[in-house]
Amino acid sequence: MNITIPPIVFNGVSLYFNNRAALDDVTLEFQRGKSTAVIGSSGSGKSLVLKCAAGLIFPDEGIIAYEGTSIASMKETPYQKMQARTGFHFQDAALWANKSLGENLSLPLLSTNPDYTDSELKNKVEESFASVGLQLNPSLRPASISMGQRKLVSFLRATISRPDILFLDDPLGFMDREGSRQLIAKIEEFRDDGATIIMATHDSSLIKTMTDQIMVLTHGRLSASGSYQDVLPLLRELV
Amino acid sequence: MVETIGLQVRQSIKQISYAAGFQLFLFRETFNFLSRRRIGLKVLIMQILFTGVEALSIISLLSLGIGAVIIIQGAQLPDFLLGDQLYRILIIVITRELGPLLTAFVIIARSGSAITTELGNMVVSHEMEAYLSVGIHPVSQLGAPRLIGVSLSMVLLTMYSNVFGLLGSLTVSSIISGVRLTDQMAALFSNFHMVDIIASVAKSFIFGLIIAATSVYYGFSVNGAVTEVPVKTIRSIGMSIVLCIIADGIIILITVLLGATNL
Repeated sequence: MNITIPPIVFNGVSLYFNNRAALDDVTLEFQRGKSTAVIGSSGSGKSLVLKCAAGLIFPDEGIIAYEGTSIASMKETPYQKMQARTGFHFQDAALWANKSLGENLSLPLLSTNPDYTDSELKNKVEESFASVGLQLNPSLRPASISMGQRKLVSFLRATISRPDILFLDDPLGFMDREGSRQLIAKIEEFRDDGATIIMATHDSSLIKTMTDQIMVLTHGRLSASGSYQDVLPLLRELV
Repeated sequence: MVETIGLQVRQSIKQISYAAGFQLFLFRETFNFLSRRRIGLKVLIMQILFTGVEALSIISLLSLGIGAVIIIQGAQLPDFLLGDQLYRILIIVITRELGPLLTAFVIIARSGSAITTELGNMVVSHEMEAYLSVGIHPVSQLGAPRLIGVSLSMVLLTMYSNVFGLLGSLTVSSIISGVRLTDQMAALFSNFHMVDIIASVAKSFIFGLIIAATSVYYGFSVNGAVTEVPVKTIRSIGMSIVLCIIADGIIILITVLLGATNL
């Protein structure tokens, strides 16, 4: 890992759906160890920026580089290594419906280290639940818990392997006050540990308290970027 | 006009290339699956359970019925129930043709459609992206065990179907002709050739690969809308049937060329 280069760089990135540009010539850099909020109105392309940056979607034009290497040109092993060092918290939780909650958390661990024993996995899952105050039976399926609880489990799945880069897509959506408090505390913990955090959010308190850098998207284009103070006039319209 | 045709040809070539690339990747991941089976082992077991075990009752009923019907219909023909040719006809019709094909149709209807629907819904609910995000390729996690599970189940179910088909035939034949069932079974076994079993196993294995590969491909080809799922499922079923029948024709042609079809 070369700490002098930004971990993720977009260069002229465009993405089209039905000949319409969902992302239009986006060029940006996410700084190492910083928290960045990608904001904008609904449909402006926030989630797409996160998914492209995480290598889950490939752009039609332009280059996205992870640690200086184009994600699109990565071979399988470097791509898997990149994924092992990043975590993605999905807007709609996206838990694996046909797996138990315990399996949802065990699989990321097994993908990085297949030698984990069943008891080690069980302990890790229990510790993980306890860290956000979740009192759930790990053998339950995602369909049997609330959306807010699913979001918390999704966050745990994204973070159980202690990633260096954390993508949070609308992290506080569907969350009640207590859940939000628990989640913010965990995000802060990651930020304090030096993780790079990239989030798409509408939550003004999260933007104000948690971010070092803000990027504003308008109709798929990067219309502004800077600190909270720099983009404050725009925030009043968007958040 | 020329431009439209050109665009369509280009689009078709692109689609065929993508499908071919996908299948190559799926088969490669299936070989790799054996080395990292811990992660996908449960998916494999569940697939064998759903495709193989849960289909036993319907396959039993269907095979017994078809076997019985062949004899009842055949009995209308003069001298049908006489001589060893009856056993050879039964063996060829049931083990080489109806067994593998009927089993394939049942598997397409039950498991092929279920695989496409399940994978399509997983695309829609971003579960595939979730696999990628934790460093697991969804094709290796979800496609490979299904390919192995369906192919394995297809071979075992076809053998099971053959047994029930022949049993149905012989039972009805015994009732009509008055010859004891045990005598009929002894005569049947003496007419069995190794090539019958090889042809049945080969066909069922190839049909299994076709059904699994087609269903997985169409499941993964859903782009993100829920309304695409039933459309892809219908296409998957139609394509699986067509490909199985084409493969059946090719296998018959090969066995004819090798001289392995003589009564």
